[in-house]
Amino acid sequence: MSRWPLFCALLPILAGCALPPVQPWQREHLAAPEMQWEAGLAQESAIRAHTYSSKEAAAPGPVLGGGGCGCN
Amino acid sequence: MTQGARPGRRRQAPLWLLCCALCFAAQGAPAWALETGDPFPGLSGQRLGDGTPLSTADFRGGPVYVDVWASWCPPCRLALPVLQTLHRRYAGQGFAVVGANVDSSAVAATQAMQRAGADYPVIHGLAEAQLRLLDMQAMPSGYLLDAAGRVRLVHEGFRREDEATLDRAIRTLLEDAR
Repeated sequence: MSRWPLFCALLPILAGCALPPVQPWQREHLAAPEMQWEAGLAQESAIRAHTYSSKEAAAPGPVLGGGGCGCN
Repeated sequence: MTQGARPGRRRQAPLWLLCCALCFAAQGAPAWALETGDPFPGLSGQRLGDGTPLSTADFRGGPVYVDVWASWCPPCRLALPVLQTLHRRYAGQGFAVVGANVDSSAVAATQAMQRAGADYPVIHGLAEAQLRLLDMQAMPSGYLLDAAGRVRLVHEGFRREDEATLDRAIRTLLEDAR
């Protein structure tokens, strides 16, 4: 059986090690707010919690009563 | 004859591929980081604001603190007013702070300087090759240089408490120079 496919698959993986790490001064785009993974998720979860408490008439959570349209 | 040699070549092919991959890997090897006592390689570009040529070598002859920074880096922005204070405090003794900005936009850098109330000289438009020679590990990275252009202190990152450390290092350098 030919080993060529195996080596052809391994080559890009090994060559991938050659990619130099991102240097501190090259992180301009990575530092942009829209590139923050956790910040985006935190914002989304806050919006979901707000909608949930409003729709379920439970503010600040599912324990206490309350209401609202969830639009503010 | 030719047909007989082919299987041997085929057997060697994976080895050649491996060698190629290792050669690529070697290209990613880091350079040596600057340490205390090393001569500073020098940074040059355009002065932020008027675009005239500016280099760290222009400040040789007196102690200099070279601050490599960017407007998108929060600790770098935190350092700007502190460095301005140090620049003003020791300007009369021949000391200067020189910024080396790595922003792609000079406008962003100028705005950050204005917001911080800093007016010390800043070099913008640095070449990638110059920055690679520093082999920085963090932003900001500061290099306190003596009059001969040798590194006396490498300061990585910035916190408010670092002002005292820098102040002490600058004072020691100025006392040594007397």
